[in-house]
Amino acid sequence: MNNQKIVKIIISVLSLIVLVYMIVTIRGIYLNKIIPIKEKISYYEKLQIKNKILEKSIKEEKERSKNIDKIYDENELKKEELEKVIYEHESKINGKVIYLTFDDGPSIYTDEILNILDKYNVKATFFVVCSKNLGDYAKKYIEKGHTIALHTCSHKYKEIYSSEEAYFNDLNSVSKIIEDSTGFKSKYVRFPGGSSNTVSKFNKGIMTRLSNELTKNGYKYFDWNIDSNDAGGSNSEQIYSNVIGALENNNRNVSMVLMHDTKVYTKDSLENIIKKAIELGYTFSNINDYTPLVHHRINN
Amino acid sequence: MKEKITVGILTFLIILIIVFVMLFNNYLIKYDNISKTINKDIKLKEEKIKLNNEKLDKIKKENDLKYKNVKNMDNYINLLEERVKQYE
Repeated sequence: MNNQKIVKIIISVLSLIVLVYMIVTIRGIYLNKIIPIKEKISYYEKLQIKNKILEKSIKEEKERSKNIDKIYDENELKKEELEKVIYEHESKINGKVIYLTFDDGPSIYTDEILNILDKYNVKATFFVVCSKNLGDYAKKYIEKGHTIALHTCSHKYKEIYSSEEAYFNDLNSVSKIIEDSTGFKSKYVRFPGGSSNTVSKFNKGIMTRLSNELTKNGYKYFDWNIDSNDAGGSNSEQIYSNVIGALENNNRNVSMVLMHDTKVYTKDSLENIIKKAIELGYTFSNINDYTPLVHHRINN
Repeated sequence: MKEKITVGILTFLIILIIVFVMLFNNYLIKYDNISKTINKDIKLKEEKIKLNNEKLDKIKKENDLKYKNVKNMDNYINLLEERVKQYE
């Protein structure tokens, strides 16, 4: 073989090697760079579509929110009108209205109390504290047309009256449970021990400050003007006597009765109290926006 | 003459390889940059989707609570209307 042929062969092989190298390299770029980039672009486009759908859903939910707010406002006006009619009627009949208020529940006696109230179509007000089935009872109170109101979560005097912040944190805890289970935000409050309590005297002036803060924040607090004295321990005859005795000697238009649905003798005396009060010409109501405020004199 | 042709071919092959490698590096850098940009865009879009999902869940939860309240209010209004009817 002469030299020319050898050179030709070498050049051919070199050219082939270069060609193969170029093909392999271009294929490598296509497989390792271009295809992944295409896949990423495709994925990005899917993300864009997903995001557009989300943004559309958010817009629809905002619209839904506006509609619900509109319905709520209309209902609020309707509710106020009806409550006004009821209040005016009940105070005109003979001017004597009883507000039965039950503190510290719900308890094991609450269901029976609700049944007794249903039997006589009496609407009452429940000043509740935190308990494990408060959410379920909150729904029941509202479904039956009673008023659910706030009595703080813990009812622990040393904690709730230690500062305004402590009180409102505690109040917001019980309010949140009610709101989470019913959507309803109650603005009616009763202070543990009443606004006239002296258990809070370890913090001078706290009751004055709290009563002002509550009013400033749109709440209405209610004390009582008839005490069943069921908190101190008694029997059902005594409870009946305390309440009916006060009603018989009553020249008030508004009787706000303090009871506790945690007491068995309260549950046992309730039906007789209702029957006698009706006999005496009283009508029953639950606290609403037109209920006159019943306040004690503040001692701290 | 034939030697010149051979040298020319070899030189051409060498230059071809050099140019090819330069172009190859250039495209590598270009596709790497495209890849980085797309990765960044994808990450941003995924974060935006995550935020929008959280926003949507929050609004839905609030709306469900508001709706529950409206339903309860409806029920309460019905009870009030029944009471008013009793007076008539």
